[in-house]
Amino acid sequence: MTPLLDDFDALVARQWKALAAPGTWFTGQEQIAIANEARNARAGHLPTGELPTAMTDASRRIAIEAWTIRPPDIAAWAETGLRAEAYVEIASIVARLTAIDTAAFGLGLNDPVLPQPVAGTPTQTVITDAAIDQGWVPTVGTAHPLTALTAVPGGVDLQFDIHNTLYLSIEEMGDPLIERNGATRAQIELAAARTSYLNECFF
Amino acid sequence: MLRASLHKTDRDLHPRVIVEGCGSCGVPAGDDIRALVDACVFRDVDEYPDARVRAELRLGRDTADRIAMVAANFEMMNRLLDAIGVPVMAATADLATEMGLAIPDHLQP
Repeated sequence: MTPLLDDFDALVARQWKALAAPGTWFTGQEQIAIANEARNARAGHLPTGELPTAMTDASRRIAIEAWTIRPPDIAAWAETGLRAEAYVEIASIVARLTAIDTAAFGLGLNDPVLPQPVAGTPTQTVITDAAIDQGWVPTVGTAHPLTALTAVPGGVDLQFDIHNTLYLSIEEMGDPLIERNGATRAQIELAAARTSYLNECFF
Repeated sequence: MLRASLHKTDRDLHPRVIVEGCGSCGVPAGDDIRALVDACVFRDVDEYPDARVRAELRLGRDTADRIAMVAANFEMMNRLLDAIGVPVMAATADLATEMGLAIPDHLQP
């Protein structure tokens, strides 16, 4: 086992703990169902039917064609009861799951087995400082990579747990000469740019 | 940052090659990195073994692991930013133009 695989295993353990526990808008069981739906979509399978239509659609779209989502989609899901903050939580779950699964594939591993849900009730905590500010959903401050998940308590911490482990910390991102495991910053950024290109994302 | 990091090592970036997928973009081992990233993002079980071996031979095991992990991180970031509609940053827009890409209206900074 290399140190990198140790780091990855520890990351999965932390992320799965959060996935299994009740979140802000979903139970642990619902969060795991969202993750299952994302994997189903990626595999080209039909919806599982475990979730309401809006949650199913949002989970699948974020998993396989996030670049096609537009404000009218989010509004239509909201009309059926999926409030914007809950949609942000789905984005968080699916995006983090995709990172874990892609990393596992790249490391030569199978998709990690999803955790068993932990009983409990979602907190339904609303971040009152969050508002629409240049993005399509509420954020605390202007919509930006650092604020993307600020409408969900703990969302930013979960995002940057992955970001710091797989890529670089915010502090490290300012260093054009930083190396990780022999990868130069230019090689790291080439991997980032190519991934964004393949995902039709301009980030 | 891709360009800045290359300039620090007296190399020039050729952004269009990031898109076109052949030739040297100016980054050492760029072709092998690109092939490994493509295999990971597409979860291509046919291409992955060869891409992985080539990357390991050229860069070493840990570096190949790191490249795969970086791609995985951007799989997350791309989905998050597309899903919540974060406008493209001006610096990114400039690079996109150099790569020959047109930023859609809904993402204009």
